[in-house]
Amino acid sequence: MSHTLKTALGVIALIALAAVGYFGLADNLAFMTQVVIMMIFVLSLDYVLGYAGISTLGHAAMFGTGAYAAAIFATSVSSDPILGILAGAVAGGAIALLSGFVLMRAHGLTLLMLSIAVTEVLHELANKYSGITGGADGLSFTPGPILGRFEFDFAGHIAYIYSVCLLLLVFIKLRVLTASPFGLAARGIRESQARMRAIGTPVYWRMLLIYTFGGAFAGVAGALSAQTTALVSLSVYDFQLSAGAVLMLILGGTGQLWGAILGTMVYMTVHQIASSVDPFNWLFIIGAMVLIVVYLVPNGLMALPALLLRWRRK
Amino acid sequence: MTEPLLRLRNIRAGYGRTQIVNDISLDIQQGERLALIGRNGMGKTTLLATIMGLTQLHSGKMEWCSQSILDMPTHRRAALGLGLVPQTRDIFKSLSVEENIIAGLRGDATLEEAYALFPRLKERRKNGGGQLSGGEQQMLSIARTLMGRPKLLMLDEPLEGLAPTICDMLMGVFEGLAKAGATTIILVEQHADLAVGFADRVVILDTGMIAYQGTTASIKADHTILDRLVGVGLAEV
Repeated sequence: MSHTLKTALGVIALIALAAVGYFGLADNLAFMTQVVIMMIFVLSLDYVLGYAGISTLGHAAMFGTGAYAAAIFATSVSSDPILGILAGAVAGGAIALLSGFVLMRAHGLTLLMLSIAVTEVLHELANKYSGITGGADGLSFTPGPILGRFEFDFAGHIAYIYSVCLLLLVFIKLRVLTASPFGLAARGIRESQARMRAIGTPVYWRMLLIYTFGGAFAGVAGALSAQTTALVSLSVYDFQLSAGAVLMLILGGTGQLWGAILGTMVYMTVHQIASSVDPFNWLFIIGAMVLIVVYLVPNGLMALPALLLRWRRK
Repeated sequence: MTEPLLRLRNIRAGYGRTQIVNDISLDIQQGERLALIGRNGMGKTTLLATIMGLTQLHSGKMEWCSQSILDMPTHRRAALGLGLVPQTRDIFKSLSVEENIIAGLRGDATLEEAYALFPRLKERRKNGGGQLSGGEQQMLSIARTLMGRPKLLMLDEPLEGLAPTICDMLMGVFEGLAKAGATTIILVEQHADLAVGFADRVVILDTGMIAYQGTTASIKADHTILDRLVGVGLAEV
């Protein structure tokens, strides 16, 4: 099956999934929109962590910066949502590029700690410059109509459809990117940086570019989150956001775009149900689920069918 | 004598503070076939890795076409024309055979060139890198390196653990590359007979130093050299 056909089938599958969500959970479109936004965010993380092996616990830095960029852009330049998304992508990419100059020289635990530190610095900056960001009160704004026609409605129909469209665009872009020689190099870097250097790849610059692209996609997710809720608060830089995205990715399976989508879907659904059943101990259920999956299916839920087939043959 | 392609002077290198290569000076001429042999742990692999910029260089000078490459990062050395086929082969297991080759493509190199050299890889092009036999992995590792159009091809024990028919096939490929004239070859090999049979010149390493260097003819004339320094005589191999 050709790569283009696989991508087309993937897009159809995503549209079908989105339609099921739209019609099946019509009363809960706000939650569904959040799931879609998280899918974009986790896809961006998968590109950085799953494909290129860049360990990070600070992906919220790009998400948060994208969110603030979209909000500030809407309040001071233009309320056009598409332009706001572009502003978020540029801001997310710029923060990734700037921090990446240092981060991409680090490895392992140092890289993890530095990625957290970048997010904390941005959190503090957003808090300190409350005149621009709204500080602890947050920054509220009113996004304009999409393409000048579609106003965000109270029930969240437009926000959901808009988010799904962006998810499809990000999915297609990542499919193209990961199958290109550039994407192959990313996977090569994950497996052996030394070998990639020896066949002529400037590993540091390539990783910086990958991190920047991943940051731009995370910025899109952040901007979308800001636009669909019409609010940005300091929580966009929360450590839990970065850590949660890593858990979703591990749950679904790293280095495969569908793993990011499946992991986000499962995690957020279980999270939604568990927190409504037990608002105080829902983390226990999430923790237990991740432990069981990691123990039984180390490569994530995407590897489950193959594993079940192997068990059946035995 | 013309300027050497690669000039090493008093090279001391290793991993971290551990020094494995001790004071090696060596000139490699364009179009030469050099066999680098020695017992295990004598520094052959480390010397190749050092030329490629993959180890910690402690001191010495290294010139490529009279230009110092001492501070040059590995990827730029590869771009200049240095190519290393590592002993570990380093196949990217998550990539298919074709994707592994594409990852190494530089300039005007094409997939078809790799397949012309190793038709077996074309048959297996959709297979994962982790699904190949040892021989196929070696073919892939060589093909991927050749896609960078190396002027100096460093082969680190390319025949290790391979069936005799595969060894013959690979030696035929090396012979073809050398005869074409554009590729200078350094062959590190435990099969001393194959290495000596292939090379113009032989360098024997012992405890990270050059214990002997001379022409193939001179080593064939004195059978005791290999026996003394490597532990095998040409008669045995």
